Amino acid sequence: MSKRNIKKCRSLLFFLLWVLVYATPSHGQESFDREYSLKGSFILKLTQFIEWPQDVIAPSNLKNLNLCIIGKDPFGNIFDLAKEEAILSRNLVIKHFIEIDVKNQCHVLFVSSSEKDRIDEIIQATQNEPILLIGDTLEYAERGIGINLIIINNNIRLQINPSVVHRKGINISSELLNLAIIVSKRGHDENR
Amino acid sequence: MKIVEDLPLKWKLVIIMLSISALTLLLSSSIFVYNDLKLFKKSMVRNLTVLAGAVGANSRAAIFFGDPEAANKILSSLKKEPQIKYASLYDAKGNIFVTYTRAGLQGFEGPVSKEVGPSFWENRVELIQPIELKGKIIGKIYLNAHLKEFEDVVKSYIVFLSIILFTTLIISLVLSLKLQGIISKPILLLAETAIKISKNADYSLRASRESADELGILYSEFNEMLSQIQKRDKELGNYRHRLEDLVKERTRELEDAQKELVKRERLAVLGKLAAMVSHEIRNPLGTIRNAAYSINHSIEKNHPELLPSLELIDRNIIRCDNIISELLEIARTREESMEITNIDSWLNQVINEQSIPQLVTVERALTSQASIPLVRERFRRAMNNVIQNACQALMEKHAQDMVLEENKKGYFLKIESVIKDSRLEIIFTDTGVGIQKDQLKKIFEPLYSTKNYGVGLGLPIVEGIMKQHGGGVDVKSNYQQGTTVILWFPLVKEKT
Repeated sequence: MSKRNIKKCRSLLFFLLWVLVYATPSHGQESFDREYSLKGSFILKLTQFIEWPQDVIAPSNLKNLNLCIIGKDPFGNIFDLAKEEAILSRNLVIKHFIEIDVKNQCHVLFVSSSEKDRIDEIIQATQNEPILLIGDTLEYAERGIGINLIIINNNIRLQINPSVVHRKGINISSELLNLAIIVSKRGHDENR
Repeated sequence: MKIVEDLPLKWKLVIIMLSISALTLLLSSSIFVYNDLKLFKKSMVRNLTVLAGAVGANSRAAIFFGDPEAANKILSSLKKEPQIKYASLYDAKGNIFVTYTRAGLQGFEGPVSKEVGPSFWENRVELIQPIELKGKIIGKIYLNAHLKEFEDVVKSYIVFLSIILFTTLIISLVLSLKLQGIISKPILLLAETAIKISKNADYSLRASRESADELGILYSEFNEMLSQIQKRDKELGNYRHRLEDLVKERTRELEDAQKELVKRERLAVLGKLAAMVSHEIRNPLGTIRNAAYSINHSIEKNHPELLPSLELIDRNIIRCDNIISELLEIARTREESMEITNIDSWLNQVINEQSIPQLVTVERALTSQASIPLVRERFRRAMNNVIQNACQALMEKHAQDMVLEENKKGYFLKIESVIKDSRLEIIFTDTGVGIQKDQLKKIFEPLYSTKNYGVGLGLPIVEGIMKQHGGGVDVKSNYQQGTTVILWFPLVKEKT
């Protein structure tokens, strides 16, 4: 191998490295952002079709929408951007948790995919609270989460487990149910 | 308009009534139909709005979450609404989200107007309605419905109205044909009567109808006019008749006066002549008579054969004297005073004084018992003339009888005085020779005589005398049978 060839190889390596460092990861970041901006918007939009039992929510929270995130936050500042599109009239308050704290008066608790292992524990801890659990991980709905966002045919679809939600005294509008894939705790059942 | 003006009254009324009913019906039904169609459109829009509201509400989650599959499913429920041809959903930014096209139709017909609300087009109605979520517009729904139902309603209205219009016009025609008579019949009757009257000029005709309306007044005034015309006609007729009578009377009077004048003139000439002649002749006649008397006296016994000749001379002189007296009588003009005279006794006296031949039998029937004013001497002369004429006629009859050697009836002169028709009549009836018809007309003409020794003044003198008394002479005669002469005086003064 000549010096020149080595030089050539080095150039190619540098190029490939550049591509690896700049081009490829940046493209992955874009599709990731798009997915979560849509999901964030979906979550905010969802709340328009959901009624929480008013008697158990502190009056100070009536004008707020407390959105809690447990685990790794994939949304960043997406909610602020999606607020307008979701015609949210309430104040959006975003809270991040590492541990479950039911006293924080969450309306929605987004269970990040990072909490996959503790999902049962989280469900267990919040089962008597009027907290709507939302996730975006496969089988979350079947395992007892209220609404799960999944991607089917490159579209975001809703999985709703109505029995879980109703048990908490939370009311989901039939308009929303019409759009959703209804699942029960054991296995899923498409009801559309 | 000229054609309508010339139409008979009947058809004018019918046309007026028909056009009024047709116009009223058209106007009222147009208003009704307009209102109905407006209501129908309104209800169409309302139905469409309700539908759009329902579909929009159903699809708002699908729009909100951008789920075209769900939205398509919701829109496809519109196939239950047959009037919807096209429909679409728009997202919040106004982009078409999903569309719906009715089965059997092709493509997609979008809204002409982007405005929210209903809009009507040639064959469709469009509606755009916002879809709201929590008071915010998150999309729009567009519906496009055909107007077939509306067109059907319009068509059925047209058919229905045509039938109503036609039926109503027929009924109106029948009714107006019947009812127009109320107004037209009396007028036509009046017109007919007027035509009849002017054609026949018969103003006795009347138009008979009694009602309290203006036509009744027209009739009564028309009849009143006819009555006035008739009355005037009658008066005019009377005036004309009276005028004719008056003219006739005046003409006759004039003719009489003319005749009288001629007669008078003749008599006046005769009178002058007679007066002159009688004066001139009477003196020589007196001298001749005296001379004849002297001759008679001197030759009385010596020449008895001359005596008949002398008697003849004397008799003819007396006759000449009589003629002269008659002539003087007729020429006499002076007024004489009248005396009230009991006519019967006076007549008796006068008849007694008459020298009547022995053959003649005089019968008297003087029963009038009247007293009249009389110029006695003049009337005596008239009596004298009439009686002498009768006697002469009787003697002539006698002469004829002698020739024919027969005398069957005798020779009678009947003199009567009677009152008849306000007249005192003195009637002389003889059975003499009578007067021939053609001669009867001329007997009152002066100087006309049937006798070979007459002067022809006898009857004219009698007539003159009777006229002097306000009366007259009537003569009736049958030739060879006899003559009746009536001298009459009026008992009541004639009106002038």
